[in-house]
Amino acid sequence: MVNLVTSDNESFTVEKAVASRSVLIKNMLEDVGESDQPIPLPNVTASVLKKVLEYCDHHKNEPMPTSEDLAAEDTRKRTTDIGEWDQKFIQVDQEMLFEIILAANYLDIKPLLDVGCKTVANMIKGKTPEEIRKLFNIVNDFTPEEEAQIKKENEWAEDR
Amino acid sequence: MDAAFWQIRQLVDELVQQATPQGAHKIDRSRDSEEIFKLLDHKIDTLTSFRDRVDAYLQNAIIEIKSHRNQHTPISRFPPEIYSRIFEFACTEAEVDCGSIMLVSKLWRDIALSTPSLWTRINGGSAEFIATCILRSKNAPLEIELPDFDSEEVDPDILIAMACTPEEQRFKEQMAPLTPQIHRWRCLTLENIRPRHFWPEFCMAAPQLEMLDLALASYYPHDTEAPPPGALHDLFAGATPRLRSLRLGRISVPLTSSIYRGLENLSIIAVDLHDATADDFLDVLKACPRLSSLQLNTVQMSGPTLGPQSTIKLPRLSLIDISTMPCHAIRHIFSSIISPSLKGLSVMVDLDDDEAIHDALPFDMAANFMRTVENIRIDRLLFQFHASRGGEDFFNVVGGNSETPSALYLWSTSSSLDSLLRGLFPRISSTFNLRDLTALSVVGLPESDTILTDFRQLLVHCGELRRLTLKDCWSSIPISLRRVGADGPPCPKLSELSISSSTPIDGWDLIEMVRTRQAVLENSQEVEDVTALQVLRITNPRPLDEEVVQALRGLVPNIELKTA
Repeated sequence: MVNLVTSDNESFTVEKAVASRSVLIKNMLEDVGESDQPIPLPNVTASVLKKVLEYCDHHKNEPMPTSEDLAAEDTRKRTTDIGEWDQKFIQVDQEMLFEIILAANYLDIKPLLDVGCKTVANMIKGKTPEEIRKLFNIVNDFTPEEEAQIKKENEWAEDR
Repeated sequence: MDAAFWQIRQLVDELVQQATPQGAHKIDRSRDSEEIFKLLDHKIDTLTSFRDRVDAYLQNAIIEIKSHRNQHTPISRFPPEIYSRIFEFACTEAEVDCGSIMLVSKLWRDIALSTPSLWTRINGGSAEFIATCILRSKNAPLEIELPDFDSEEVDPDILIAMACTPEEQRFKEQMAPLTPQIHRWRCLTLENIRPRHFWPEFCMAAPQLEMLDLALASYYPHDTEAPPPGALHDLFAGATPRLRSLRLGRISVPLTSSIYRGLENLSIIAVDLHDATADDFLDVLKACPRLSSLQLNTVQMSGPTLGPQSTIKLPRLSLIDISTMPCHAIRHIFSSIISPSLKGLSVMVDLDDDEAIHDALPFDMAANFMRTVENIRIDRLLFQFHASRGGEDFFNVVGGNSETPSALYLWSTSSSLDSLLRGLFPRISSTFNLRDLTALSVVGLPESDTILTDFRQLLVHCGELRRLTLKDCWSSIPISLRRVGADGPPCPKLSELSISSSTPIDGWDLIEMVRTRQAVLENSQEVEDVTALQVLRITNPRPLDEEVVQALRGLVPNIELKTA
C-alpha cells in the first residue's frame, strides 16, 4: 500500500497498482524503493485526489501507455471520443474539471489528462469566439485592428 | 476618474479657445478668409490628433486591463501545453479549424500560433493560407488534403478536350508553396487532378509520406489516366520508404512503381493496369509482407501466366474485398495467398457464361484457400460472396460474427437458383466453422427438396444458433427444423424463429416442427443442451386456421402472426 498526503494535509492509503497509474508516483516509488514514508502531493487537494484515485482504481488493470504508444498517437488522427465510464466520471462542474486536468498533468496520468482535455475540447467545438469567452469568463482583449486581421486570415482558409 | 475627466475637459476647452480667440460667435471678416480657414483647419487637425492619441491611449489601457483580467480566470491556470493539447483535440475533425480559437483572446491566439500541430492539416485553401500554415507548422509533418469542393459532373468529352480544369489550375497554385516542403508530407489526398498535372510535381523524394490517396471522380474517362507520356521518373523519385496506405481511384500507376512496396493497406478502384498480369500483382503482394487490408474493385489486369505458382504469406492480412473482377483473377489471387489472420472476406465476381457460382467461391479453387481459412472460427469472420452475370446480380451470401445481427445472411433474386445453389450449403458447412454461429438469416430460399435437405444439413452444424430468420423462403421451410429419427433437432438452442413466405405455410407443419422439438426437450437429460422455442413470428399470405393458432399458442410463449 502507498500513503499519499494532499496539500490540505489529508492522507490516502491506496494500492500500489492504483497509485502507480501516476507516472510521477510510480517513479518516486521506484527511486525510493520499499518505504512506509508518506508521499506528499503539494499541488493536489483532498477533494481532487479523491476523484483522481477513483479514475486510477477503475483503470488499474489496464496496460500503461508505452512511449511507443504515445509516439504512434501523433501519427494517428486524434479523436475526441471518450469511453462511457470516463464520460460519467468527468461529468463534474467546470472548476473540478480544471482541477482534475491540472492534477493529471502534475501527477503525469496521461489518459486522465486526455479525458479532461477532450472534455474541454468538446465544450469548445462548434462555438463562436463570443460563446467560448462567455463559457470561460474571458473578455475580448484584441484591438479592432487585430481582430480584423485574424478574421481576414480565417477568410483565406475558407477561400476554397 | 471624475477629476481626470475634468482635467481633460479643461485642456480641450483651452484648445478650442485658442482655435477661436475672439469667441465662438464673433467672426472677424476683415481677415483674409483663406488665412482663417488655414488656421481653423490646423486647429481641427490638432484636436483630432489629440482625440486619436487619447483614444489610442485609452484603448491600450483598456486592452491591458482586459488581458490582466483574463489572467485571473480559472482556465488561465492551465500551462500552455495543456491549452495546446485541448486545441489539438478541438481541431481534430476535418470540419473544425482554429478560426474560433484564434479569436477568443490574445493568450489563446499566441498559444495556437505556437502549437505547430494545429497548422499541419492543410485542407484546401488559398495559396496564401497554405503558405501561412507551412510557416506556422514549423517542421512538423504535413497532412495535405486537396479535395474538389466544387465537384460537378462534367462530360468526359469536354474533360478530354480540356488541357487544364479550373481545379487543376488551382492545384498548381496550391503546389507552389507545398512542393518545396515535399520532404515534410505525411499524408496526401488529391481529388480530380489528372496524372499529367500531379506527376511532374511529385518528382522529389517523400521520406515521411505514410498515406497517399489519388482519385478521380467516376465521370472521368477510365482508360486514359495512366502516367503522362514521357514520364521518366517514378512517383516521388521512387523514395517513399514510410508509405503504408495507398488508394488509387481511376488512376493507373504501373505495378513496378516503388509506391507499392511495404504497404499495409492497398486499395485500387476502377483502374486499368494495362499490360500487368495477375502474377505482376502477386509480386506487389510479395513486396508487402505486412499487408493488413486489400481492396480491389473493377481492376483490369491480364490473366496469370502458366507455370508453377508460389504462395505468399500475408500473416497480418485481415480484410479482403475484391469486387467486379474476372473470376480467374480472383481464383489466382486466392489460391496464392496464405492469410491466417483473415477476419473479413468480401467477393463480388463477374461470371462468364461458362463459369458457375462455385467457381466464384474461393473454397472451390484449391486446397490453398482451405489452408487460409481452416483455423478461422465463424465468430471471427465476416464474409460475403456476390455474383452477377450479364450485369444482373443473382446471388449474395453474407456471413458475420456476433457484432452483426445476421451472422449468416443468404440472399438471392434469381428464379433459377436451384442449379446455382446445389451443393453450396455443404460447401459452406465444410469450409466455415459454424459451431459458434448464433444468428442466421436466409432470404429467398427456392422451392427445391434438394436444397432444403442441404440447408437442413447446414443447420445441423449450427449447434449454438439462437435466432433464425427466414424471409421469402419456400413455404415448406419449417420441415428443415424438425427432429428426424433418433437424432436431436437441428439448432437445439433455437429460441427465436421468424418465417415469412409468399406462398401459404402449412400450419400443421409448424405444429409438428414445434412438437417434435419440444419432445426432445422433455426427454433430455442435459437441460443446457436444448432450449424451447420462445418466440415465433409468422408472416403468411393468408391467416392460419384458428385451430392451428390455438395449438401454437399452447406450445410457444410468444407468437406474432401477420398476414402479408
